[in-house]
Amino acid sequence: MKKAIVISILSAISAIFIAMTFTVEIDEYGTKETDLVKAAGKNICMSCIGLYDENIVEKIIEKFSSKKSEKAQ
Amino acid sequence: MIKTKHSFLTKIKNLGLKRNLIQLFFLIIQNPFLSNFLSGKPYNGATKTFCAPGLHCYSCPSMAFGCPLGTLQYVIKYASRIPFFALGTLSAFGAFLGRAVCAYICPFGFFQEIFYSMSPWKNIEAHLPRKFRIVKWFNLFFFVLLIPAFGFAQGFCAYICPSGLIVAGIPIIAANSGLRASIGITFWWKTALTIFFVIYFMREKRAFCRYICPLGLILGFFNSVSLFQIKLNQNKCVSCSACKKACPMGIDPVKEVNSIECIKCGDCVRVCPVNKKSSLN
Repeated sequence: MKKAIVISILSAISAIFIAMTFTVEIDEYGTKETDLVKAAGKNICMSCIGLYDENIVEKIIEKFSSKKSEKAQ
Repeated sequence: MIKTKHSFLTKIKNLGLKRNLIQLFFLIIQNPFLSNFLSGKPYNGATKTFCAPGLHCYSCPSMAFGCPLGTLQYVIKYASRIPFFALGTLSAFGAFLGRAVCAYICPFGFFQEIFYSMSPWKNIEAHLPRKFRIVKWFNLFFFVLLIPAFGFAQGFCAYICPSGLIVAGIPIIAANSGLRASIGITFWWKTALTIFFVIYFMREKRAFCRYICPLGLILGFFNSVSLFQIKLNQNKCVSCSACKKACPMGIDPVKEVNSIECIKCGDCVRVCPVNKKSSLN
């Protein structure tokens, strides 16, 4: 019984989550999360195929050093 | 004695070949557009709006659905928000199946089993120490959540995922000469890592699921409450350890059945000697 309640709650939450992605707009242009999901699936993802070549360590250092300098100013 | 809890599931307790057939069925269902490998372009029809629950790659030319892990990272990176779609899909599958998704639906799990079955070393009882399982927690929090949250990259897809390279990277780059010019250090890193993984898949059963896969970990959070459960009858257990030897995840089902590491494949049910004497057969 307890398990049935937990499963029902989980199912309800997942239904709400999925419904939200079809209805809730995430920016001023009316984009919905499903549009993002569609966009992700329709294009070749450079990350997935191994062609994402930015130096992530450099980017992280850059981001944190710029934040530090902003705070200093 | 270990048995599946629901009567219709007890019928599939002699799973050996049957589970492979179920895996093959889901592989075909998820990959109907094989001809796209020739053009090197992913399918982009209506079903791509939805995610299949297993680890695959949404850039795979033949894949009809999205990858939940890729979608999760994509939404975190580009929209800086909670990825409701991927979480909703995973919690729906998690509530009913838990990590049984890994055993029956995940194409990459099937791929690992095929490699292991071809292995010349498959009789060797090889496994890394248990503490290595923490790697998948690190992958989830660092590569899947943290790196995309800072807007840097889809961390797991970009630097770790061998599935993306095998089913999308190599065929797409082979078919598109223009992309070959963009090959850089990340591609070679992923290639080296993938070769290592593939060799290691032959040595240890489901090594990727055990140590690396953050998707399996997310589904594992639902394991103890999901509808599909393996039931253990401690009173009938004869402590023969047959289930422990058969477990592809290297756990002791008597102690850890339905735990976060259990993929509910039913191999323990199949080899349980007490089960064979019972009316369940």
